[in-house]
Amino acid sequence: MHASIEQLLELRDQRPVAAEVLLHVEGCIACRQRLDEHAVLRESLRTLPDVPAPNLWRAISARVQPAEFAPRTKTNRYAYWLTVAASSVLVATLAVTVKQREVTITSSSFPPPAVAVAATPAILSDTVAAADPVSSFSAEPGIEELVNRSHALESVLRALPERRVVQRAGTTATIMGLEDGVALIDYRLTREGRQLDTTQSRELWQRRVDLLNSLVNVRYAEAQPAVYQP
Amino acid sequence: MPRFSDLEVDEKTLTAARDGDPRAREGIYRSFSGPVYNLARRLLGGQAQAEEVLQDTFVEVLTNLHAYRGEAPFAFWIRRITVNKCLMTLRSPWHSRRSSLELEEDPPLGGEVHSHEGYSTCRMVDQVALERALAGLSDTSRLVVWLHDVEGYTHGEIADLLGRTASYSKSRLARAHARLQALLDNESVTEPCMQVSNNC
Repeated sequence: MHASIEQLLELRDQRPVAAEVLLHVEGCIACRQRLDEHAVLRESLRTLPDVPAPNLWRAISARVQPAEFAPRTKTNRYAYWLTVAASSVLVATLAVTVKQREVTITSSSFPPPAVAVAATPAILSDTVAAADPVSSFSAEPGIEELVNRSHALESVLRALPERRVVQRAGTTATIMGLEDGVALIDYRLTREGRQLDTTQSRELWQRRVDLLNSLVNVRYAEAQPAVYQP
Repeated sequence: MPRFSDLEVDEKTLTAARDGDPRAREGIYRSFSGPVYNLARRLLGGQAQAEEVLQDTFVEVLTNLHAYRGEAPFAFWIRRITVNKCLMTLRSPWHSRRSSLELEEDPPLGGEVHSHEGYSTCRMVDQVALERALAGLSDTSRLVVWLHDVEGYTHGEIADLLGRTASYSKSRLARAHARLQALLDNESVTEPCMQVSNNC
């Protein structure tokens, strides 16, 4: 019985095969010819011509931001955490402002805070914890509170670094969807503002806050430096 | 064009690139863009996808130079990132031809193994025909045959990449060879070498 292709490939690659297979191939013209053909095929694959790569250097260098290139020096780390800290302090300050206007303070059903707060560096954790918006907002916030939250989240968005020149399509689509959602609510609040009753208006403002909160999360995650996981 | 195994980057260039020297970074791109692009083109079978992998690979390489610790040659580190990017593309639902490597099989070719009539070692395989035959393989078979026969991956390494066993890789390689030879024979795409009369 002739050797199988798998056995012939093992022989071609100088890996051990059963002694009887080796003996058969040595004495079988057909098998030796097929063995040679597999070797020729491999050599033919290896000598297939390459084509010149397109010059994509400009696109690549645009995607790789200087901040990501820069070595992780202490100065850079401080600058990075300073940005995060500034965003967090801004959120905390605005939260305190809102808190001062509140009569009832509970902490049960507010939507999750923006990542900017959750990722506060340890050095600032005490400061932020004292003014954590999660614990300072009421369970069913009124319209005025929701308006203030919207303003606070918009301030956080403005504090985040500018988006990269070239972005991930998936992230961009998510951000565009969220921004469109906010724009649609703004349109309704502007055009239908007088016709909306308190409940409808409150619902729209709540949705606006939720969308802005998601937007802050996505933008914040996008602004994080990439970390290679081998 | 040089292959990955032919290329190496000196420590000075690497350090400069890590420190943000634009010339060093571009030098790395110029040196490795050819092998990266051609490997991606072979594994993916498409120019547009290969260009995407070329971009994604260098963005990852250049933003993670600090992660390269010199445990393997720099060229092999880049090659590993390239292969991973190709696999991600092949596994992506956006991949135009098939959605999953797991389900992918080569289309049947009647009696492809045993109807093979063979060609002499004195005959060179026509490159255009071989390109066409490669394109006729399934994504997985093409990946296995190229990584094993050209890039020198072991069956164990291929198995790790695909999340399968070494036996699976061996079996895939055998089937890929059978199909390549059948495609080459069926289309009469080999041509005699120039020394037929003297050597055969």
